Amino acid sequence: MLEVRDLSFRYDAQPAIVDVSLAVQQGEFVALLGSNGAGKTTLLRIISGLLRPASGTIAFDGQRLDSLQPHRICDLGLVHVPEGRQLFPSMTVRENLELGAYLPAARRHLAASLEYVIHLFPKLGARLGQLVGTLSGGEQQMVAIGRGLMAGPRLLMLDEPTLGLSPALATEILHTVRQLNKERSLGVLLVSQDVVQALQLAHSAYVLQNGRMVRHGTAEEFLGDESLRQAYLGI
Amino acid sequence: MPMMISASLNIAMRGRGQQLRSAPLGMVAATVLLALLPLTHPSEYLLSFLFIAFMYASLASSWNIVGGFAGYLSFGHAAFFGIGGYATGLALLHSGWSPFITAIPAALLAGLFAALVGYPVLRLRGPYFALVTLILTMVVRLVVMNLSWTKAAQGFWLPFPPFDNWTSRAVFYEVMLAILVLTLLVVRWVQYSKLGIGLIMIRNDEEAAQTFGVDATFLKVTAFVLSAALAGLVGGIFAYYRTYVHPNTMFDAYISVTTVLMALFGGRHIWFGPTLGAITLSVLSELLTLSIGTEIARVVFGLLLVAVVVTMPDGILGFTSRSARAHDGSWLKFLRREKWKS
Repeated sequence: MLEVRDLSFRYDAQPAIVDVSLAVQQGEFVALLGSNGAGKTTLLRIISGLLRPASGTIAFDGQRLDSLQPHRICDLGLVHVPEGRQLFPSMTVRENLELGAYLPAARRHLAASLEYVIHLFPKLGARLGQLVGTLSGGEQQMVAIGRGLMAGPRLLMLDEPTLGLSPALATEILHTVRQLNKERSLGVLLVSQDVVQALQLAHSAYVLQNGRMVRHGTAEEFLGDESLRQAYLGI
Repeated sequence: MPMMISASLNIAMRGRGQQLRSAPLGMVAATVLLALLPLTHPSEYLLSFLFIAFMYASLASSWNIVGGFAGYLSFGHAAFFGIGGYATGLALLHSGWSPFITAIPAALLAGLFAALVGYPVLRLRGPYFALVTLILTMVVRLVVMNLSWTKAAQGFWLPFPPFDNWTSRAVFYEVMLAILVLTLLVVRWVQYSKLGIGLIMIRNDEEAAQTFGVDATFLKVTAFVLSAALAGLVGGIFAYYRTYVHPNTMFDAYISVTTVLMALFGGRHIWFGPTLGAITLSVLSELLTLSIGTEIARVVFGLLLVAVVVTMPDGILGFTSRSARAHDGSWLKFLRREKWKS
């Protein structure tokens, strides 16, 4: 479904991503792991069109993305839920969700999408009229994921959705992501520092180190092999 | 594709029906009353004062499309105003065409110029954008000052309109009122359209907006062009009103700054905020000048503005009405009813 091949990117002269390849299949849950500064966020930003790669290709269902504008990529069904949530704090929960369905195709399913988001996150249902700036961090993250879902994605890219959340809330959010991955056979590319939990939920995982993809395997391989865990994940 | 077009047309028409039914009833009444004002034979002073007040109201409102909705604080509105003025002035001087007609192509010219400079300049954000737009006015003024066919630094006089003094003032008053109404209709339409929603998303978080399908570059440039064209229209009429066209009066940073302050003062979250700000400040400034003399009035006026901007960051509308405060979504309720639902 998503095919990234030999992607490279530089911030000025500094290489940030070097010859990275990655694939996500239809309905697959993929974890992207790596320490701070490894290039995970940069990689997602390149895929969603916010940054332009220096070389390499990105294809989504066979269509090349690497020269498309971000709004076109969203229209194709590849939706990025950015790190730090980037919500519209002066709008209500409902308005934030509605704005996720900005494009005509998504707006046609507005009511059904809204219902599904509330089904996934019942807490939001009670807070539709509340300003997002007054929500807790966990609730804001739910809105961010919900807003992403409103765009009608076929592949959802989540950047650190559990950052700064309590362990219980982090677990809840990640399990919800797994649930919608199953229910909707939605492709998920998850960036997370919460390595163990991400591996328990994901089908496969990639490890980035200093901008290079150093390891790819199934989640079981990572969890089962101690030397692998110590070498790449520090757990 | 054809289906999409018919759907959006449908949406636009429903939107128009709603507009006629709700808020603008007051606007229609005010417009009719103001349009009939010259029948009471007011003084030339009053007509001139209202002409200038309406001019600033229109400038502040059109500025708000970019500065308020999209959150790109432009200090270059005078550049487009001046281009409009020079276009109608030169057309009258060389060909004798009336500015009341050439103001329309002059507005298009200002819009075209905005498209050309907007594309690169709108890539800048925050203070960088503000500075470059401020400099833009100065650059255009310098260019005009050094070209022989724009009469360089001398400027040029225009022939008087073919009316007696009072009639002339009344005609200019009516024309500027019409331009203000047009501006308000455009700005109101923008706020409640998909363009407006996109612009407000851009103001909140441009990157997030892009990842949700907002074509930020296109929307920003469109907003900039609309805003500039309306300013060019105003400038085109103002040049004829002044009958003297000079780089320093047409490309005056004072106009840009006053426009911004008036919009901020009124409140930039709602389409009629800048008009309210412009009218209030014009009246206040005039009263202060008349009562305590020009110099002290400037000082008091300046202090008052600082006090207001510090204590009411969302303008007087934001201060008085909770819904107009930073709550951007209040108008989305309207969309939910009318057209946001597909």
